[in-house]
Amino acid sequence: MMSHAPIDMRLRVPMHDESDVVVARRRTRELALQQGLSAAQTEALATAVTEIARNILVHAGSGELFFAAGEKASRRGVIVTARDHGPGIAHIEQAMQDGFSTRGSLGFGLPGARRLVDEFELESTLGIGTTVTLRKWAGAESG
Amino acid sequence: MNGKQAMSDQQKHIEREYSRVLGAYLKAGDESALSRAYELGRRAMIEGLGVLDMAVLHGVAVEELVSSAAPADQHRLTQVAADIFKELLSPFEMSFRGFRAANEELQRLNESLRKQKEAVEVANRELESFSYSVSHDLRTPLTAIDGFSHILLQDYAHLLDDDGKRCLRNITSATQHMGQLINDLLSLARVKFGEVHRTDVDLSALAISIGQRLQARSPQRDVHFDVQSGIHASGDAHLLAVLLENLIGNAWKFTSKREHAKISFACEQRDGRTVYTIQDNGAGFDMAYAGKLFAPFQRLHLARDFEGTGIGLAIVRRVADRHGGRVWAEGKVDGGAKFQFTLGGERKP
Repeated sequence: MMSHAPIDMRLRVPMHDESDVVVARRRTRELALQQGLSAAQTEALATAVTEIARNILVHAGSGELFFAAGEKASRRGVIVTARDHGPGIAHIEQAMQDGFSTRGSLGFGLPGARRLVDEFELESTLGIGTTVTLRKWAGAESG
Repeated sequence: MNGKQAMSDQQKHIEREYSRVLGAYLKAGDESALSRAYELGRRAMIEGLGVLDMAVLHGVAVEELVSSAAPADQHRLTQVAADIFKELLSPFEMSFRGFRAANEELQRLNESLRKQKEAVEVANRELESFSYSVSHDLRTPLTAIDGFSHILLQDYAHLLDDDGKRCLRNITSATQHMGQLINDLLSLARVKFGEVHRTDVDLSALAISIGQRLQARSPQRDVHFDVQSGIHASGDAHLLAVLLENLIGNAWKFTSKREHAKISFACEQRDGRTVYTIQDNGAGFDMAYAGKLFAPFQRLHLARDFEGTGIGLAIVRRVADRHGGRVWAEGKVDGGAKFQFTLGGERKP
């Protein structure tokens, strides 16, 4: 979906340290507001973005996030793509399981992010990196 | 472990930090405060703090700011506090979704486990009733084989040489063994499906009469059979007789190579339950196989040492099961065996 529109460089957020997470969250809120997401949906998306941004910092060290406005079945929404050139994920299924990485953090990380958005895609190649795509549509029944 | 203390230290730390973060956001509007609030919520969640803990520490922090904030900040406070509080709670929301999903998965697994169990039970019942009817049907041809073998032995023995007679005798003894096997199978099935009528059963008297029958069958044996008097149980008289016949019969059988055999039957109270014990000084068994003892057709001894069908203890276990009790065994090779059982239906302090 992203390839149809030229990438707006203002909507690219490089991810190097914690302060970039702050920027990514601001972009998320701005775009969510513009696309008509509810307050609860916006918070859910911001939380998901925070988790994948954290994931980049913890596992890859650095990477980048792209933000795009999208539309699906006449519902507007926000598409966030996170990309890093880290080690990649060897066992995706395991990484998507709750509580896989840290004890006492059930529902955090990638599986947590997945449940906060409407669509979630994960692509990872060992030694090449990982791409995560989140999509959240306005007017969905839940936050 | 000092978990409680550690948790309250951690809680105090989060409380302090949260106050600071809220104040910083109110005064400077620095967005990184939102991220910090989020991280605090994440840490609180991992530390095992709850949403109510968060509400309390949020309340305390707001209270402090209300009294100390500049008048210009006062009316902004409500919005700022809501923003920061949302961040603090977001990790909890995320985790709750995880718990909810995990719970749904658990229910799904439970349901499929229940269905599998039901399917296994149905299959088992079908197998049982199949084996019951097959056993039943096997009796008829077996009776014919047995009957005609006897006729041959009685009326035509003079036409056979010694080898022929030996073969015929082997046929009749094998036929009798198979008959016993079929009877045991049928009795196993009956024990499973018959009704349990509980009455007061005098187990001591039952044990003594079983002992007397066994002694009458092999009068040459020297067995010291020690039965504690006055053992009563609430249970099905017929099933309990089957149980005792099997356990005492086993003890009798496996002490057959002892010059001075000893068998005892006693009971004791343990954890509010009555535990019944039948002990002998016979051939015993290897504890490594204790788990297989009660499965049908499991025999730990060679047929030429001790005969049997391998069904007796399966019957014993079913009788105990049907009474809501259980049976277990201890033994040592050549060091005797001890079988203990409970019958359920009681629990006194």
